[in-house]
Amino acid sequence: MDTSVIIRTLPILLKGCVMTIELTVITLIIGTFLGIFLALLKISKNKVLSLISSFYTWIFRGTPMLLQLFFFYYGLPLIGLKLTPFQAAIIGLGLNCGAYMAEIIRGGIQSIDKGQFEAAKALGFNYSETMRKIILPQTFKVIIPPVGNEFITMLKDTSLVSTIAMVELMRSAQQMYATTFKPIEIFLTAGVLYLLLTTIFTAAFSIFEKKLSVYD
Amino acid sequence: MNIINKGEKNMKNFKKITTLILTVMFTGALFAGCSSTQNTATTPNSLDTVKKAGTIRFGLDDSYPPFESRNDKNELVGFDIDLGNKIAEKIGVKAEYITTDFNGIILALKSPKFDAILSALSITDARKKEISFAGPYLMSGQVIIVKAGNTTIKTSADLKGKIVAAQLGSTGEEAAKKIAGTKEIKSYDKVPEELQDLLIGRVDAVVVDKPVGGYYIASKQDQYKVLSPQLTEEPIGIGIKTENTDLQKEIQSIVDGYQKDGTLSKLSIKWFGYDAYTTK
Repeated sequence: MDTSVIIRTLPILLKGCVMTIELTVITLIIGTFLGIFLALLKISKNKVLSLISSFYTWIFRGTPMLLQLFFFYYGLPLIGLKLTPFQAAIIGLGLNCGAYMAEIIRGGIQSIDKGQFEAAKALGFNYSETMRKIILPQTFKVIIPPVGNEFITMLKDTSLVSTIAMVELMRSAQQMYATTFKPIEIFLTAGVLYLLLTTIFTAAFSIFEKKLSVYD
Repeated sequence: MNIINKGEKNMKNFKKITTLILTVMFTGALFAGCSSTQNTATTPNSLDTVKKAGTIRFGLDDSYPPFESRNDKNELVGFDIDLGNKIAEKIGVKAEYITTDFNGIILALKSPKFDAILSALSITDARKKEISFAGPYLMSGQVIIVKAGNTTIKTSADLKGKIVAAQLGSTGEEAAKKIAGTKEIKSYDKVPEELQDLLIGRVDAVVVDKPVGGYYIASKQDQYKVLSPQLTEEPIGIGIKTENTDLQKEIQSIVDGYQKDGTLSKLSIKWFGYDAYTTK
């Protein structure tokens, strides 16, 4: 084990880490809002809206993320839309995350007792107020485990953007391997960094779940 | 056990069958894993073991025409494939080609996933520390490719402030990094992706092996332009695991023989359009 290699390459790997975190955070924000929107569309009484949402989740969950990234990066320019690697990455990852989040949130909403909807109606809440003030807040606690899963998966999926010429942690590790020929040291360090990031996520979610369980 | 009603009985049966199916699948997966590791553990790694196996396995990255690429029928074709077949013929075995990412190709050779690297691999001092080489079987070098109609970039000096693309882990990438003043070096997994981005306009220039540049100019003449001063002079060799000295000696003498008797010149004219060996 050559520790000097680790010390030399650590700054570059950390720089890659920063990009990974950046991509993950932006993707999750886009994914969450998109997910809530799509989930509400899907459970709506309007058949057209519901179909649009189903179609969206069908496409984005049914094709590999790598294919989606390639499509946005190499495919779109042929119809005139040229995206930078960062834009293609955010769009590809965000839209994909949105599809999975939609199903998670929909599951969460549907698990809330029908009695809640009825009580809200009886008290005179309209649909929007019911969702915002009564249903969605209760949904958050229920969906923490699957959302935690999705967040951690997204963090690791950012490694796929290395294939559309974006430099984040995985790409940095590959570049360092190319120059030092020391795969064990490089990939071990990168692995530890990924583990660190996912552990922070896991810990944050545990705390979040405990806080929301205060009223149980 | 007390089974109260038919519903409960069905559930118990369902659970039994599901458990049985899952156990079978899991065990099957375990054994599938076992057999594949066995194959890689007994890989041949010297001349005799190659002969006994009846096959010599070459590792390459299959998106590098005219050295190696796929035709319409998805068959591997190229200079390296023809050379590999001829080497196998001389040893008295068949040639098999394992495609792999160029960036991990040396690691793959050492593991060993194949017996030799035949993928337009430049001989460098850094690589010599990791593996040994047979050859050189060609003198190549890096050139700069720009989009046709680009009049601002004529030499490497004009690359100041420009974005240059190269393949990850290649000597092209090394050469690109040595050019002073470039804005950014973008590393791609495959050469076609670099050239695609060149056309799209995301990069200003691509650094790649001369014959590869020549191939793309020949097939898509109006889209690319190759700049004439060659960036580097690089010998191309066949990578072999350092401890396989018998295999290395054999391949070396075969390659030397083919150079002397003109076989390599014939291949060069076929694939590069000119005889790359006349200056030797």
